[in-house]
Amino acid sequence: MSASEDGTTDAQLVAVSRAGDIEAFQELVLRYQRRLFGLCYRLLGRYHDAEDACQEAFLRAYRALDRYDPSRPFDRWLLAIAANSAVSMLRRRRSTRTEPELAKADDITQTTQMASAADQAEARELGEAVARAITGLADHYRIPFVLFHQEEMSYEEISRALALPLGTVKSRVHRARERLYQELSRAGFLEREDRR
Amino acid sequence: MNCREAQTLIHKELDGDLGDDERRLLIAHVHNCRRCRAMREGLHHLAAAVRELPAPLVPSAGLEEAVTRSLRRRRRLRRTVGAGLAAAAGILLLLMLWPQGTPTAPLATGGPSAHQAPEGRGPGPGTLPDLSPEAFRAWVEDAWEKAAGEAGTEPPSVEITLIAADYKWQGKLQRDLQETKSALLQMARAVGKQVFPFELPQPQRQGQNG
Repeated sequence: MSASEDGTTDAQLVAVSRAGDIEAFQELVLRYQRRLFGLCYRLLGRYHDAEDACQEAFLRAYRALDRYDPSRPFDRWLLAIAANSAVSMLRRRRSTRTEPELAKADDITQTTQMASAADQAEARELGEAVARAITGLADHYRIPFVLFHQEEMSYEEISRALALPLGTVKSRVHRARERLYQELSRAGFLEREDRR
Repeated sequence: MNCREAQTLIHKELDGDLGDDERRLLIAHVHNCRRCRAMREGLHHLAAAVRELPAPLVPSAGLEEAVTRSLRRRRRLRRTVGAGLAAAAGILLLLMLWPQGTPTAPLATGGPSAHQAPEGRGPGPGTLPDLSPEAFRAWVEDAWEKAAGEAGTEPPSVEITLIAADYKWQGKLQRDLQETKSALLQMARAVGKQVFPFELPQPQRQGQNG
């Protein structure tokens, strides 16, 4: 059975999943696994951790389906759960004193190299610099920044997902922006506009 | 408007919260302030660059399968636990009846009367007619359905080979009937990994003197 082939909507799949149909939920997993994995990877920076957090997010979502409000977009709801799972994993990682993140910039660089043509060297260089700079941010700045700018979650969604006051989320995103701007400007990456 | 106020508005602009009046004030300020203009343009450039960042690696092909497997396992576990208390006597009896040392022999077990026997005191091997694996499965499925019906749950999908595949349980149960619950949980985790017709592993001798 392939629900996606006949154009089944998320809402329909959610309704059937709620009734205990695992195949329907499996279809939702297929639809959103890349997106959730991407979010988890950006927050965690390690492939296996991202997979674990992503898997945990789907399982949590399944358990929470009864509490899902169908008037809200399903993907936003799912992203919030994934963000929360990734942050929980970050906390666990800190508490178990795991090694700091190592692979993030390299991995992003790798995909950039794969994705970019030779004539996009400048954009690639900027992308690498931005990715490195984001990686260097403290978690409490990096996480809301990534959720807002990369995952395009709203402040309200981030606030709910991270259980932080709205004002705190905003100020952290603003601080993160300023730090990134300062660092990248100093390195000459954002100075093209400055010269005008 | 001073630079600090202008920078607040720049953030509001990036947040998508800037009103028309505020935009006019901001534009007027950056027109005359090179530093704020550079910052505004730089931050917009940054935001665009972040959006353009390539997607990270993709998850492995097994992710969706792992999620589904966990959900199925969880459902079986939940159903098993739900039906577990009602089914405990039947399962216990099933385990007790399993003939030790003759893993591939036809089963000596009972029909409907068997799971009505007093808990832990099933009739011994040889007192009931032999059953083929298929008949054995059907008997267990009936018992499960009945137990699930009594517990008010959906009948679980029963693949009971693993109940019998682990001979340790029998030994344990003979030593300590209190381990029934633990055996049920173990079974729930293992369920679904084998299909009929089954072949039983060699029995483990541990616990057989219990």
